[in-house]
Amino acid sequence: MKKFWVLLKKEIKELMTAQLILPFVIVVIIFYFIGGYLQNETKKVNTNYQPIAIMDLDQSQLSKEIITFLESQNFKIDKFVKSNLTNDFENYLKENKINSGIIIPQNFQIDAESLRAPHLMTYSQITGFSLIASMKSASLPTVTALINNLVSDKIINGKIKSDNAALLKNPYITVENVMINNKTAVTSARQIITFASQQTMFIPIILFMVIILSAQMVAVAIATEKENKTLETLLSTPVDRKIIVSAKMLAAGIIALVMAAVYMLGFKNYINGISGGSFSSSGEGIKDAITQLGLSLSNSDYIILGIGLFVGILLALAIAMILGAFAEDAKSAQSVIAPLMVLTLIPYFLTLFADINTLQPIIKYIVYLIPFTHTFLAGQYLTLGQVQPVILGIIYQFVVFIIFVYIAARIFSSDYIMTMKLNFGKKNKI
Amino acid sequence: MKPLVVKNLKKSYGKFEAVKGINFEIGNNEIFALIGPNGAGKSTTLKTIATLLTPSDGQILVYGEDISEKQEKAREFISYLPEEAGAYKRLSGKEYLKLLASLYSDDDRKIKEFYDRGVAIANLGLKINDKIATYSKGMTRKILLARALMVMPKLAILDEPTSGLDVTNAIYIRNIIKEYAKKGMAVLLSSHNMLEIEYLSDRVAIIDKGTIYETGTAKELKLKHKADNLEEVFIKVASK
Repeated sequence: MKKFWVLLKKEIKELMTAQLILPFVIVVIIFYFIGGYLQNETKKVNTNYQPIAIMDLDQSQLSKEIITFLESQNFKIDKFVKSNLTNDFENYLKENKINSGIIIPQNFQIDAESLRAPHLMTYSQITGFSLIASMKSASLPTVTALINNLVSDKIINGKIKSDNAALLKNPYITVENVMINNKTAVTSARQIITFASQQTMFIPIILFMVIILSAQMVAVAIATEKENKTLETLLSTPVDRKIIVSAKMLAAGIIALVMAAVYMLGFKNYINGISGGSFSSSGEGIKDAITQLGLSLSNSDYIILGIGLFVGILLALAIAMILGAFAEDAKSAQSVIAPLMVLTLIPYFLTLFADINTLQPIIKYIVYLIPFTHTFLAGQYLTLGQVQPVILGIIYQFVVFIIFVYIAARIFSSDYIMTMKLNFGKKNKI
Repeated sequence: MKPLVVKNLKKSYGKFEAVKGINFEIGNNEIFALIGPNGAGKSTTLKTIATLLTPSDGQILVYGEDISEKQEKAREFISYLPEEAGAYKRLSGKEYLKLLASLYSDDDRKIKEFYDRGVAIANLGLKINDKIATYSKGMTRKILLARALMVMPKLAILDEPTSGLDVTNAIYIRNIIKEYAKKGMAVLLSSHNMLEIEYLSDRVAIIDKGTIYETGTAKELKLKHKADNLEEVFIKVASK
């Protein structure tokens, strides 16, 4: 056992190179700072910090009411009064870097009340095509919708001598119910899907990262030993080959898990920034519904999910050990794990974008034969309260893992670890 | 019990027979050398005895243990220095010796004993504290030899121990091998350097195309083939 810990320590030390850690740390720091910056910027955009310039050429009761109404809705209204000329208004927008502008034309009230459809002119000044730049003029459609509502309400109330324009436009109220398995809750389906998607989106990303990272590390670790001519010495020592294999696998798994966890913290911050903080707060308005529908994962669900992830990683490591034995050096190790990447990418993309149960049967069963499919589906199934398919998936993965570990142990205990390589028809050289 | 008994050893890679049924034995404290040209089967023989390759046929006994059946037990008696060996470059010399010492024993006292011996054999002075990546070829070979001999194996298998070294380092390594053989170690080595073999070895086997043609002391072989040196012996044997 002592030899295992000695080897594990050595494997971790070998893997923790500057080439591995430095780019990773830089990416995480960038994610963190960009996320923070984006969160601030999107907050500014979303909370009506962006001014809207209005040139009121009508100067009617209605136009004044529109402006007062918009101010009451906390929009920052910049009244342009210096001129009645459109060119001057446009220049004003440019000089003052105001992204949104509205011109209320002359006779607006008269034409609107006479149902002659006056033209309300809006101006969106685009200064860039980034997310933040595009959000700066994103409030204009909301403003024009509010104006439309106000004006139409006034016209309807005026025409039918009623003050119930809202009810006339929306004569009924929709009560949304969501059913999941045998549970029902009164809530919006879109909100539930958004919440669940956000929760289940992270799990496949983490899994994919950990699986690919750890597999790459194990394959490179073996190939590097071959390249640096240290493998023969290691294999000739009185250490059980299974201990050598286990130490390499565990070292790669530990580092991959830590890297994935840190990466996801940075990535979550970044996504939060893009969504203006809405990513992490999407569940707040529908907490009761989430509980009623049983969508929150219990402690036992997390344990099952953890076991599934662990078995999935072990399986990837076992496969990587076998593939790594084919590599002659660290460079070729990157390419030998291509089959493993394919086996991981297929279920990864399918679980993110498709419903596997709606696939054609033969394709569905092929996808289910890929062990990693069950790892990626576990989060979704558990969220829906379906434990049995997850347990069956874990058992299936474990059986496949045992088979691959047996093969890996056989390779490491035999000549194959010394002689195996992708030689494309060339003779093996000893 | 003899440190090494090789009986009718065969090793094939697919259809190619690298070793075609060789027999030899090594006694206690004996330095036994395999000499032959490139591709003769020397390294294959050494790797098979070091348990890195599996014999296709035949038997190898290391202190009575059949390595085909008890590989791990056999490895406790063996220490192997490959021709093209490397060390973990991110470790310092002493970290490397400590790591390898820990793989040969769980007893802290034994590990320290191995380590201290390894530092003495390596004879690198303060450089032992530096990363192996900074070592010259000679220094690396010294640390590797130290690793191989520090555990006082019953059988040291050294493949071209002085390959690529300058005269000073080569002489140093030869002297260390001789010194440790006297301390109770059997040594199986291979080399192209006939002078080195004559200086070091007690007995020699000439191997070519996977077959051992002659075995004996250098003196016996030179007498038998009326040669001045082992090179001449080899040429005469190979031409037959």
